[in-house]
Amino acid sequence: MQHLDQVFAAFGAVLELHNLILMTVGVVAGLIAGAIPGFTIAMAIVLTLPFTFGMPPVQGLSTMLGVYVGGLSGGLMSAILTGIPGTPSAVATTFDGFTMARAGKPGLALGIGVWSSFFGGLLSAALLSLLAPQLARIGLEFGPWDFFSLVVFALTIAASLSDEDLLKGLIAGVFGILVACFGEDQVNGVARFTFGIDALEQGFAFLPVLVGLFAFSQLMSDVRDPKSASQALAERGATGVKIEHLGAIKAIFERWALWLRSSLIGVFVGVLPAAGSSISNILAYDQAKKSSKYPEKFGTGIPDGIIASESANNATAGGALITMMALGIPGDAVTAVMLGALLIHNIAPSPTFISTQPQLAYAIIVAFFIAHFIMVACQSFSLRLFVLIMRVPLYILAAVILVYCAIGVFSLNNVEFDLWTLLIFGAIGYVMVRLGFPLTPMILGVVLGPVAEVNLSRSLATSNDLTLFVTRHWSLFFIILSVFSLIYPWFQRARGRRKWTLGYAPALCMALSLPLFLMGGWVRPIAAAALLGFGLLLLWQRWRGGWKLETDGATPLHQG
Amino acid sequence: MRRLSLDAIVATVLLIAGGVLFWDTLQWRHTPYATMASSVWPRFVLVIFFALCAIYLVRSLVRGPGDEVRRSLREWLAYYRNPLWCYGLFLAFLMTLPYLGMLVGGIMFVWLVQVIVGERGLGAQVRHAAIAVASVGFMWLVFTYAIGVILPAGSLVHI
Repeated sequence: MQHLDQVFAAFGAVLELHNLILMTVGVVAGLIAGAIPGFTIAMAIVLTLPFTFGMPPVQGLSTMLGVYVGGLSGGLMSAILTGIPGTPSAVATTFDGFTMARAGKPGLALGIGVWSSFFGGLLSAALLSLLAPQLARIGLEFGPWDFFSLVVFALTIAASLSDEDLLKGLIAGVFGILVACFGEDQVNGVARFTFGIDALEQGFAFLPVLVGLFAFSQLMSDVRDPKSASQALAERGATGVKIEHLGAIKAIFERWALWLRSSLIGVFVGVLPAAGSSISNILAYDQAKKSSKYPEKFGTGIPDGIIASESANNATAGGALITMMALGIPGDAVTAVMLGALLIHNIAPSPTFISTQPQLAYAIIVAFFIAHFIMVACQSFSLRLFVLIMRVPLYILAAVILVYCAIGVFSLNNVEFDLWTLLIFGAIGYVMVRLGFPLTPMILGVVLGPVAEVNLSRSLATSNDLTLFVTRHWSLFFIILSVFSLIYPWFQRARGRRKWTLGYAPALCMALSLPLFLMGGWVRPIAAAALLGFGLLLLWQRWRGGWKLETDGATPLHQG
Repeated sequence: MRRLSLDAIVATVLLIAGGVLFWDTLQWRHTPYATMASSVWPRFVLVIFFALCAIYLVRSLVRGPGDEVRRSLREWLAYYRNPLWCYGLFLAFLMTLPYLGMLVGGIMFVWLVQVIVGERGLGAQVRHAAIAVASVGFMWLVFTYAIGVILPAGSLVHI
């Protein structure tokens, strides 16, 4: 009953007129930012953040969630109309969306994209409200050893998923942790890596680092080629379009199983620490193609490709919020910014967050839910704005956004050194991208490095026994996941070519069943037994098949 | 002599940077009261960093330069002309911030980036100037009067 009261109170707070207006502004801003290639959702959230300083937490967070949801859905506009994904989360949308638009149905393509995003987002909002409190309850069982191992898992999975080159991903992650070590140590107050520079005693503020790495470096990549920098996006594709709503909803309902599967893939990827919508849209598209009766039609402009990609990327946001709210671990780079934003509003997500601040926690869930309705309502209007912005050459947008980033970053702490941080990490980010180092593991290193250090310090203060990292059940669980995520890039490369890959999934299932068995109670041992049984079944199937390698009809993800 | 790959050079630079950071950890104040000294975590991370960079260096040396594009300094400067100008102008914007302030410095920055990276011609320059004044001026007004953030004022222009 108390739970329902809190939900109703959250609805009341979010549905206030003033809040709805702010959310609408946020959604439109997110839609436009997401639609412009080269301008990221993270950048839009950071620019919005200073506007929320004076607002109560519910209003501030609702506005930023509006930007987040709008940004995720905005990427589809340019993906479909110009063939350039507005954000990495809309990459797979271009495969069928742009082709469908070129085939004379841009309105239907946009409609399918918008409504798939909407339904995907609603499902993830429902799962967010159901799963976040449960995960937070599990999080309460975590000790410092478990949190430390969870951070290790988040970093290893970020490194292994973000790029083909695991080594560069790991170096980037470790480099991020080192960056977080600059300045005063949280535990003992000792100044570290200051090199005699007073400004460095406070260390590098997280958000300027993030804006530098993601926004500044991205803008520089956008203007690198003089020809594309001078070009307006409008030169590339159809612009005068009306969204077809009814046809789109009908197309999605006819493919409800595809929508459901893609949304669940999105939520699952979002829940994984560090894996974001840039991965989920490709993964969902790939799965849709593999399980389709007509895989050869993918890439020719069919609704299935758009539904898979767009429902997955919006659903990922709900998944990422689950991990962020329940454990305080960002699900992707955008939720890392959200985490920073929450900290600025004096809110620190942790397993106790939902139980100690239920109204705020439920307000986040409700705002995420409502933002999807606003997103659908604002799409047509945003499309017109987007068409106008598409006429502006990229170099003008880049110059203006750079100064906006500078103003936004300065206003976070009113410290000029943050502007230098922006420049330094803008340059570092650009160089890293040019050299093939992924940025996501570095961001997670910056965010999670201090969490790891504090928990390591706490664990050593509690006991000198280092074996606790492998004897505590949750810690062992995350260490097993870390080991398997480290092997994952090799597994991906050797899959279908080397026999050892046949043992990867069974070994993972069986290994994970061990800590689950040890956890006691009755639910977890049952889950462990199921996992063990599944692993053994896979092993038996492969033994019966004579350890024959599956080529899985590996077709390229996108042809043409 | 075999040419070094870019990766090998990067790995070497990272190893040197790691060495400098490790040397710095030796200079830190010791805290006898602490359960875990302040240098433990950074050193632990640096050891991992060294190990990864060493593997990276060995791998780069084994693989060699491959089909890496080799550019002369002139070609390199031409290729990265726009980002180099932008970084340079942003550096100039930061260095002149105490004198020009956020408003004038921001307008100058936006205008100069457009002049250098974008279209040429008198008409374009006038348009660029108008865009710079309108965009930065608008945001400056919003932050100063609507949000109440005191943006840096310049000692030369006092705004």
